[in-house]
Amino acid sequence: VIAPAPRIVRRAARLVLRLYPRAFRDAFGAEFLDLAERRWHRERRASGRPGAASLRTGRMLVCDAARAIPVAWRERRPRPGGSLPPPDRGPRLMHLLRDSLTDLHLGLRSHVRQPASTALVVLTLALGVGASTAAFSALDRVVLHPLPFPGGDRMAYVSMLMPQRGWQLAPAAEHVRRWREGARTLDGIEVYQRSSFTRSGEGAAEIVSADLVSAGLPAMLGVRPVLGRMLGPADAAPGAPAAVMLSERYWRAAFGGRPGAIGQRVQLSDRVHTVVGIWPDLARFDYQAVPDVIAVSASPHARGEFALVLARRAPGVPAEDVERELAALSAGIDGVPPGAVPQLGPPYGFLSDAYVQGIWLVFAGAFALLGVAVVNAGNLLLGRAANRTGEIGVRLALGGTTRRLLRLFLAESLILASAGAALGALLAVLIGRGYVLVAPERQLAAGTWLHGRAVVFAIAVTAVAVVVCAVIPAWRSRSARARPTARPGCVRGSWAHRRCWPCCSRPARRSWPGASRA
Amino acid sequence: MSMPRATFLVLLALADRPRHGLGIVDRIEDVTEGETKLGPGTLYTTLQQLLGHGLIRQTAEAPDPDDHDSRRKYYRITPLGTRRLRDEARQIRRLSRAAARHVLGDS
Repeated sequence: VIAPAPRIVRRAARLVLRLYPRAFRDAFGAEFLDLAERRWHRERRASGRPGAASLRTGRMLVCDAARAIPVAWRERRPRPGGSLPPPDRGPRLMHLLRDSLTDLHLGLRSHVRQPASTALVVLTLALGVGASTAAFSALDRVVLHPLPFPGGDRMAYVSMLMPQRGWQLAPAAEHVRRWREGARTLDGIEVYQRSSFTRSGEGAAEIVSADLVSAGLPAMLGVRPVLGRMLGPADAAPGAPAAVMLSERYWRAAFGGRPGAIGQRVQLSDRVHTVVGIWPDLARFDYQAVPDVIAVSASPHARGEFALVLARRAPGVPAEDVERELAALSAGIDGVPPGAVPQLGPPYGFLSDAYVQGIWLVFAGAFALLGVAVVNAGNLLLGRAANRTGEIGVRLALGGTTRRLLRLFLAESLILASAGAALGALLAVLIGRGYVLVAPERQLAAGTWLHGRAVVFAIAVTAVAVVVCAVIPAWRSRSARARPTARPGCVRGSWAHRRCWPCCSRPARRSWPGASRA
Repeated sequence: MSMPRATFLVLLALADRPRHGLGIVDRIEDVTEGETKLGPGTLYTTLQQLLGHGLIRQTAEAPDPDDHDSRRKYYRITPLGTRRLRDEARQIRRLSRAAARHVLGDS
C-alpha cells in the first residue's frame, strides 16, 4: 500500500481526465488516476522533493493530454468486431471515390423508392434556385456588371455634371475631340447616337431604329458578329460605300434569318446601305435593346448634340484621375454651362434610383425565397429520415460513424440538389424569356440570360442547399440508435407499442442489442 | 504502413507476457533505458486503439499470481498483434541498416 499523492496532483489528474471522452473515462479512468499517482511517487523518489515531483507530474499530464486527447476523441467509438482497417483497400483517394460512388448509388436508389417526396424536394429547390438565379442574373446585368464586354469593368459613360443643380448633360463634339486627342488616362473613347431611318424600297416604308456609332466603337466593345463582319474605320472613311449592320432580332423579322441578307442593299432614308453583318442581340451597350440597324458615322454628333460617350479607362487608372484629366482638357470650350465637370458613371445613371432599388428588392425577395425553399427541403428530408430510424440504427450498429452517415446524406442531398439546380436553371431562363414576352417594353430583360456569374451563383446556392439538407437529417439521425428496432406499426400509445420491447422498454441513449458487437 | 512509436512500444512490452498498465509503462522504460516514459493518456488511448484493432485483448489471467490485483486489467498480445509487431520490427531493422550504411558510413 502506498501513500496517496498530494491532493493537488490527484485533482489535476481528475481534471485532465475529464477532458477525455466518457467512454474512455469509463474504461480506463481508474487506471489513469492510479498511474498518474504512481508517476508522482516515482518523481518524488527520483528528486526527493514533493513539490518538484508535483510540478513534473503536472507537466507530464499536460503534455500527455495534448497528444492523447485528440486521439481519444477520434477513437471514442470503437471499431466493430475488433477488426483492423483493411490494409489492402488501395490508395485513400480511390477508396474515397469508391465509397462516394456507392453512396451516390444508394442515394439514387433511396430517391427512386420514394418518388413523391423526391419530386416535392426537387420542385421546392428548383423554385428557390430558379427564382434567385433569375433575380441575381438581372441584378448582375443591370447593376453589378452592366457592360458585358472585355474590360467592361473599366468602361463608363461620360457626362457633364452640373453639381449645383444635379443635372447631367451630354458632352459636346468638341469635348470628345479634345479628350480623344489629349487624354492619357483613357485607352478608348467612342460615341454613339440613337436615331432612326426610314426604310423604303420593298413594300411599305417603315421607320427603323438606328444607332450611329463612331468607327472605333465595335472594336472597343470587342463584339463578334453573328454573321458577316463588324463595322470598322474603313466604313467611315470619306467616299466609302454606306454600310450597315442589322440587329439579330431585325434580321430574323425582316429577312427571315437568312444568311443571304449579308450583301443586300437597303434604302435607309436618303442613302442606300449595304448589309455587312449581324449584331448580336445580347451585346447591348446601354439599357435600350440593340436597335434595328447600326451604322457607322464619322461624326455621330452631326445629327444632334445628344450623343452618348462611352470611355474605357487605361488599366490601373482610377476614375478620379480620368475625371481630373478630362476636366483639364475641357477648359475653355464655348457653350458649356459654367461649373459643368466631366463625370464617369455606370449606364444605370440613366435609370431612376427607384428602378435600381426595385431590382435590389426583387433580388432580396428571391434570396429569401431560396432560404425558405432550402429550409423546406431540409424539413422534408428530416421527415424522411425520421422514417428511416431502423435503417440508420442498423448502420450505426454495424459500426457506421456520424461522419459516414453524413456522407450518405450528403450524397442523397447532392442528387436532389443537382436535379433541383438543373430544373432551377431552366426555370431561370424561362423566367427571363417570360418577362420579355409579358413586358416587351422593359428591354432590360434582354440581358437577363443565364450567364457565367449566374451559373456560379446557382452552383453556390446549390452547394449551400446540399449541406443544409444533409447536415440537419444526419445530425438528428445520430439519436436513431436509441430506438432502431421499432416494429412496424409501433406508435406511442398503441398496443403494439406496449409490447414492443426493444424500441420502447430500453432506456434512451443505449445501444441497439446488436450494436455492441456487430 | 509504419505504426506510431507508442503503439510499437506497447506491443513490444506485451510481447513476452500479459501486463497491466503500470507494468507496460515500466517495461517500456526498461526497454528504452528510461528514454521513453509513456503518460497515462498516451498509454490508454494506445491500448484503446489496439483493443479496437484486435492486436491485443484483455485477459483475466495474471502472469504472476503473487502480484495479482483484482482491480487491475491485464492485456495480452494476440497472434495478429504478434504478426504486426514482427512486421514492424523487420521494417525497423531494414531502415536501421539502411541508415547505418548511408548515414553512419557502416559497410
